[in-house]
Amino acid sequence: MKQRNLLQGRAAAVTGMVLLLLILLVAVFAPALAPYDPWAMGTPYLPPSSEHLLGTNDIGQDILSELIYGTRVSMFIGVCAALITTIIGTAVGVLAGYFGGIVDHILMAVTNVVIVVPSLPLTVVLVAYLQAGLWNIIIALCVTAWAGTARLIRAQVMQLRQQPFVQLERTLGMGNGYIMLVHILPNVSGIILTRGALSVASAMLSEASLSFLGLGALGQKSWGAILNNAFFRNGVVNNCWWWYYPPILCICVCVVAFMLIGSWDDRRSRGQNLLAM
Amino acid sequence: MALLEVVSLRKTYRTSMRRVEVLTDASFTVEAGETIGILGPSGSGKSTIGQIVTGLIRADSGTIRYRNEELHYPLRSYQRKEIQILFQHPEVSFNPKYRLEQGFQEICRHYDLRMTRRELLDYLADFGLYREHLERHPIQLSGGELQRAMVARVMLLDPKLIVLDEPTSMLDTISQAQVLRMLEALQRQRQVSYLYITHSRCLADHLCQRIYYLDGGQLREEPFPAEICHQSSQKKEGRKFYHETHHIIPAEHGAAAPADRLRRESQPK
Repeated sequence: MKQRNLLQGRAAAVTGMVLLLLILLVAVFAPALAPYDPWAMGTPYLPPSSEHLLGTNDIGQDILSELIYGTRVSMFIGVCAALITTIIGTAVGVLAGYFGGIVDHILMAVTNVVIVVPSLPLTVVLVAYLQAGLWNIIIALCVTAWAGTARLIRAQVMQLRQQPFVQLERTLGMGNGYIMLVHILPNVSGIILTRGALSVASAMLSEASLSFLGLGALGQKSWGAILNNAFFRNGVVNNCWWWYYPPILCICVCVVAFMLIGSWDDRRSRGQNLLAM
Repeated sequence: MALLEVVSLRKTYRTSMRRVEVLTDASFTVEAGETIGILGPSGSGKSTIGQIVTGLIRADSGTIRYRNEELHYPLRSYQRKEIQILFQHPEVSFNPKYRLEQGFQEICRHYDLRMTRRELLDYLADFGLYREHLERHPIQLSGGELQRAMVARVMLLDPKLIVLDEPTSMLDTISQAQVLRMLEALQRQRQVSYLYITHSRCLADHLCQRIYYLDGGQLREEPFPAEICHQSSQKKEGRKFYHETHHIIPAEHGAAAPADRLRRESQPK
């Protein structure tokens, strides 16, 4: 029974990785794959045909090409935001969990405040005040997203810290920084990776929401931005389904891919942690 | 002059719900080259004493003098090197992510001990550990092997005082005897003192020169050896195991290294 669960868990993660690989290939080879320049204009409101596989938008841009190039923008924002989120979350979690006491109190107070702040409205406000560039979007996405990771890592590190091997490193004279980097981090690497993958998924969703609200990176065609165009430039009213369904589908596939990877349950290394003795 | 002198140690654990006074006025001394035992029921704070002495937790009050110098939390310099601890759970005494060898290399690097692999292997042979042990992860080794490895690792620092926090209670009787005899031999060779924390009166009787009993947060020195122990079945059991293991590990005389004995014991087939 256990064996089967293990295989199922692995199959899900492998599926996710295959999907991710395909998405990455599309992003990397966008110029070769896209049939048209996504900015080139032509006949508007064309339904899907052999010439334009997914039709055109209100100013005659090829939607398939937009989607293919959009992969780059959406992935870049998602991955960068998740990377920053995970690094901040891990640092806060490890420091709080390892040192405990006053350090823990302060860091967790900040984390709890960040957790209770409604994140989408805050992000919207931030984006509105910052200039709507690519990096400002990424920063705005990171401001609140790290808190969950921090709490999770902290709990795990608090447990690890009590383990004899960590205590022994201290009596053997190793420094705190060394212990955290060399002995704590490798033992939480499973959580860091899975949380990282989930962070990409949620960052991509948030980015799509922001872009949909018209707060995305200016001049960048992410999937959310295409969706925004479809809604606010008469795509929905004119029933141009080829315009608004495909970006939704792309976002879904991407999010699912990262969630599947995030579902990777690293049972083997968890067993090695021996946290449950 | 005592190696370690602990005067009226006090420690209270506080949680948001309640406070537990573990140590109220614990005092004891350890002489150089001596083994003292600390006995007491579960949860009485035996391990707390050990962890305070090794500088893992801070005492609320009380003084600890080591070689006539006061110990301050956290321990530094030679004090950090000379006071060590062995825990009850050898299977989690090494980082599960690393091979055994990396645990030794780490010490060599940190203390700038220039040891070739050959020298390390020679050193470890005295503890009944060989190349194939070094290449494994902790999960692939037995409790006895790991605890011997831990002793070897700690001994690299040439400590003068080792807190033994029930170091053998998770081991089978043969491994238990191996580790304890190894510790006795090391004590004779290196004049190291032990602070032996245990539940087992009979093991304490066997190893210790003096025994303290921890009760109500205070330590009182027990008359030694205890009379009552002869009647208890625990004692008999303990004696039985200790004698049963004699033929496996012949008692040694003088200050011979534990090496040959253990080499014979755990020579790989």
